Amino acid sequence: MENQTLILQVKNNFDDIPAANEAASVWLGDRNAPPAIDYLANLAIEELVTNCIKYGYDDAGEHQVQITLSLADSQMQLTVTDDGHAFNPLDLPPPDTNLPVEERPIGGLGIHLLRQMSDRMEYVRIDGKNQLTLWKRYT
Amino acid sequence: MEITPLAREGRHELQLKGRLDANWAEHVGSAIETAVRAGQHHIDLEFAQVDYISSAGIRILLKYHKQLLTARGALRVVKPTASVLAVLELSGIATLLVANATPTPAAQAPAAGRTWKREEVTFESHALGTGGTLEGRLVGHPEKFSKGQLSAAESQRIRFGAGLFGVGLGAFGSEQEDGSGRFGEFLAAGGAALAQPTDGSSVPDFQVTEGQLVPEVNVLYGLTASGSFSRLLRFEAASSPRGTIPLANLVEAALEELRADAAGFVIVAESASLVGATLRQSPARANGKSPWSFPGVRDWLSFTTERTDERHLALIVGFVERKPLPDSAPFLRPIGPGTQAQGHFHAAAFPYRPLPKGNIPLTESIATLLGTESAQTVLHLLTDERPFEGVGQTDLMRGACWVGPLKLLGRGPSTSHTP
Repeated sequence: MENQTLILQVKNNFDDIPAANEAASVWLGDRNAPPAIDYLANLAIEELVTNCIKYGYDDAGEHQVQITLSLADSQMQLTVTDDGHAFNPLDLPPPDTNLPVEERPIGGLGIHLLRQMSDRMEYVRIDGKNQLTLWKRYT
Repeated sequence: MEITPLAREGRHELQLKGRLDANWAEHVGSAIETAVRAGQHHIDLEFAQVDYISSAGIRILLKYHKQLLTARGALRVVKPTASVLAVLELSGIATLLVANATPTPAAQAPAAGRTWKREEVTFESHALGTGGTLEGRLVGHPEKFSKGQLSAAESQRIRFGAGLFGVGLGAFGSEQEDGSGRFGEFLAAGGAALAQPTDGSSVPDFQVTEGQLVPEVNVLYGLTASGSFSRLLRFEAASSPRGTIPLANLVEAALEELRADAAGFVIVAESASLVGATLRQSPARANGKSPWSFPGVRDWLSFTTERTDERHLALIVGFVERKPLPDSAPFLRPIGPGTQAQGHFHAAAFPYRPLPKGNIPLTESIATLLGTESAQTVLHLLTDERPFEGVGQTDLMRGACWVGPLKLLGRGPSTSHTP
């Protein structure tokens, strides 16, 4: 299959996330990607862009977060690039989902879900930017 | 997302349609919160038409699952789609939240006591086997307050074990003089005590019995009572025209139920509004000046000058008499238009949380409350019946009221009663 790529630019504004997800879903739907791939792409965009907006910046200025989505050889690759603080979310320990509910901290689940649902995730800091990529094969 | 509330077989159901993402999580949370505040403690979320949930949605589910557990209720996810179920399983919460075919024990109604309606408020009375007559004591001289003659040297140190409850002006501290600059409203019940310091601190001090450590309060003046409560009255005002019951009406209903002319109260209730006042300076430092002189009274007392719709969970302790005796009269004030009895009530206001239904234990309920929430203030409850500008009295929505007939034994040293 020909390599196909969608690039989305999202401002560091929560209100921009649904439109980015909608655009990704339409693009994946046009290419007959299965529902599980659509779900994972939506989850990755929501969780990773939300983390950028919440924790990535000290200033109140406008920043651009770039989402690069590609399909090739029955594999989705999704990369989120931001110019926030250097931060590798893959260094975070996984949450203990065996704790009793009353002792379980609320939150910290987004990255855990992405790690569980994707085949592989990688982080690099390059040119002063965070770049987090996940891959998922499908049939 | 569409959110449709449905009543179904004793459980409250919210039918959801769409995506439970960060954009919609707060809206779903608000719908759950509305149901909880209306007294629904068993809530099903129908997920048959929810095709997406993110960590923001899961956070909301966990938040209300935890909250309803403390109220002996339950939040369940019903009929999740395969994709949502997979995410709930990966999150480790599917076994907690996803309903199976058989009803959970929590869905069964707690054992009910005798029930009746009074002015459209539903009451449920549970007899408490050990209860008899509460023995009350008057401590100090409240009439000295208006003359500015209260002194820390006259305060009495009272140990509030689980069997003693009380209200008044007091402060924590190992010595009488420790409290001289901090005397303020206090209340004590169930082995816990809270006091509003007047040293500029904005939050109440509190102590809870732990092993040999029992709260002790230096009391300038107040009322205490020992013994066991004879009744637990549960009340629910959701079906009344205003959705609330004034404190005075609750007092009158309790006196009727007890067939008594005097009673002691501990109430844990979801409140719609608390009307009262808080001291701003320690009365032990009045130096003979009356706090009531105008305009100085504004420096002494902070009043709730308008009704607020902010809901709280309130811990209220108080005493009432239909016909106050000469000794007790200086301690008592009108409660409100719903009763001719006079009383003295203090309330500690906590952030809102639902209260378990049925016959709940007093000491455990108070310990749980103080262990999970911080009191925001301690108030002396008032009624303000001035025409036009009066703000009325404290209104409650539902709650638990431990009550017993009271025999005031006059002035004398109080001792902690250990049950």
